[in-house]
Amino acid sequence: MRIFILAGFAALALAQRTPMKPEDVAAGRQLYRNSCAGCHGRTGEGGRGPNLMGGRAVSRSTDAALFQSLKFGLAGTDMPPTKLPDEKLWQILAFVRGLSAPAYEIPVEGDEKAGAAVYFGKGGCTRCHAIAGRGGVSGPDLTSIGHQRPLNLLREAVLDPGKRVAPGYQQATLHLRSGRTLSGVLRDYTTYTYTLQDDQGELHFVRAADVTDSRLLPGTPMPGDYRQALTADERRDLIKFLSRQSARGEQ
Amino acid sequence: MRILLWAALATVAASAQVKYEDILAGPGANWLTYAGSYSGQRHSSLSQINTATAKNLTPQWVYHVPDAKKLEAVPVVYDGILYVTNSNQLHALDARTGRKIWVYRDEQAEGSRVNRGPAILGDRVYFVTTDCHLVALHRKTGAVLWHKKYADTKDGYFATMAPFAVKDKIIVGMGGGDSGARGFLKALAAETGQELWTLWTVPAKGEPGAETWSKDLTLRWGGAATWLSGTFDPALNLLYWTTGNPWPDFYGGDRLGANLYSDSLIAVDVDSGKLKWHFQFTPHDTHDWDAQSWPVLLDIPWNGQPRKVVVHPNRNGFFYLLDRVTGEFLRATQFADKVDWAKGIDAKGVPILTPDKDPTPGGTRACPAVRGAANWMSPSYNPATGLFYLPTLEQCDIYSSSAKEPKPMTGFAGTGGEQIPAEPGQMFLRAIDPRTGKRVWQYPMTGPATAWAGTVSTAGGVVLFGDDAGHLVAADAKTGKHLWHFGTSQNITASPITYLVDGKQYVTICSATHVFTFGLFTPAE
Repeated sequence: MRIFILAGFAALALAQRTPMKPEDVAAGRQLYRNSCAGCHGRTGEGGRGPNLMGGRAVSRSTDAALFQSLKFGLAGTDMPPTKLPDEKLWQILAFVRGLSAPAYEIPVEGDEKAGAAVYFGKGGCTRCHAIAGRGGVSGPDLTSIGHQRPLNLLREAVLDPGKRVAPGYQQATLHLRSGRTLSGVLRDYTTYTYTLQDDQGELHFVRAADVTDSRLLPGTPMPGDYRQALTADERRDLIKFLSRQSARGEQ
Repeated sequence: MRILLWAALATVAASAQVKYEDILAGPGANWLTYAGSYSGQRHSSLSQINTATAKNLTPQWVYHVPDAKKLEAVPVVYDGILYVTNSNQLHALDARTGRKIWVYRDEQAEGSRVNRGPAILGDRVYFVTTDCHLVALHRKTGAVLWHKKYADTKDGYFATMAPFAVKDKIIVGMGGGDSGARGFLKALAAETGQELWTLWTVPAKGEPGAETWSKDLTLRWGGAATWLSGTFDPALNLLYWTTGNPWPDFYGGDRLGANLYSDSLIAVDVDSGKLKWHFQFTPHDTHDWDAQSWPVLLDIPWNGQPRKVVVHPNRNGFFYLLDRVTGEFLRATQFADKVDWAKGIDAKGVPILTPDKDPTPGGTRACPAVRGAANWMSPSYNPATGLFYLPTLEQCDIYSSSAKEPKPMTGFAGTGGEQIPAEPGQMFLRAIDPRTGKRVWQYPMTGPATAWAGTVSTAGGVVLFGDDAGHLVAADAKTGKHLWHFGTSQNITASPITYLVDGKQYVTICSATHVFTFGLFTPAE
């Protein structure tokens, strides 16, 4: 019993450590892949062990409790203890936190200013996305995206955009009884009604009874070739820039 | 005919922008501002729902607001889209179906509080966060255009009010007066969020009115909060706004004097932010009687001559009539039966006090209750009936006080008012004739006297209101006769609105957790 209490105190003391730097997170990612990915999945999606991306196991635990689980394992589960030094455990923890924490709240590598140049220039992002009113309306607003996505989902959205479509952004073409054709994203649709937003941002409220043919298109109009179109540095900087987007800014 | 109409309406492109002139025009198809119109009358020109048809009202849709515990929002509606707020959230719904179009959530806002609704102007919809950010969103996409912090929680401020869009400005106020905070009104540019002017509702040391506070501490933290929306006279270019109680609420020994501009109506030039005139309803208030029932602007005869007046039912139990050009006091009449703190209001508008009604350490019984005979629950006025519809509470409380040294931002209010267990309160909807100040009819309610529900009046001769048992009720505006009701099974803490989409009139009210919408029954095609 005493041992557990002492261990607990040790963990709490360590929880007061200085904030992690981007290189610690990168080191943590490598350690995670070697030691944790076998059970928790390469991107934290879960497997034999729980999901660390969207699950509550991480987001509802304190740093001290997570550290303790890493170091001593979890009795009654397959989570084993480890002999890795504390410093490395903190690096793993920083990486694991980043799997579910909003990207804005964790250290992210890259050059934000260079990322802005990619965003507003070569990346062509403003064609569909707006930040503080600058940009198109056909894609999700990115003004506060740093608070709305964890880093891995931001990265996925840039590099593999077809993997998941943001709710309310299903592409569709509706042919109407009147002969008119509408194209855009479906903000909402049911058996009875469609709410379609065209690429000018106009909203069209359509009764299903007035639709002769509806085509729901898979995927997203977001280009899927950023791995080729952008250099590794540009991709990193763009993701850094997106991770810093906050409607409230620095406070 | 119906088929043709539907074909024409098969697609509705929501493309127009809300102009200042649209808000000036008052409520018809749209409901564009908290009180429906700048006059604050909450009277709609719609008449599809009328005394003959109201019995055919049926639910059209219900929208559940996730996380909602106590919705106090008055939605705005424009071009078939309904915008409604909860704490740090704004939801855009298809007003025909209640289907969600988009939702904006500010996850970074501090804390959770009620929110009384959005404002709309141009292609933007605005709301305040709990921690005093004014947020501008694109009305069609929900995209954030800007976030503007206009006050700091470190100074005791929070925000719950519906912003008020006037001309090219958004007017915002603050809450926090019950725990010590210096009241203000601010105007921000609707386009950019840039601050244009600030009017402090408690003067700074050395300014006129500062002499009405006996101590520097209470002058600095005097309250006079501005937590409700206001009204506006475009011809006079004046904003009318009411202010909250002085702080500490229930002990006046540390703030001897009238405590300007607490519990007052202030008239403010909307372009300069300068105070044109003020009228204080409850000088040196010790019962927490904020003046937050908004000022309603009427043009009615007074002594045989047309007069621009402002009427205001006050928490203190009196119904005031003032000249809205000059602020001259014209008349006050008692609208609640349970009023004993004052014997009346004299010819200058000053209360004739009853002795020994101040709170004491052991408790003093006084009427009205701390919640007031009126409060922020929306009243309305129907020009056709000439009647003012006022939710009223008949209740007395025991008021206690403490002379403990006040410390701002600690929740200290100098103690409070408590309901007397053996004397339950009762709520009424009362119809008052502003020309005479007399009660014409009343609609008694049953319930625990906990509703915060308001009213809306329509050209159909119907007044719709939330009652104290969780019903939305339609009554004949002329007589108060019951026409229809619907039970939400929740305490209602919001006010109804009405609007028209695709030729159909709707009535919407928030319950604690849901948005309920009604329209006349139409058989399925």
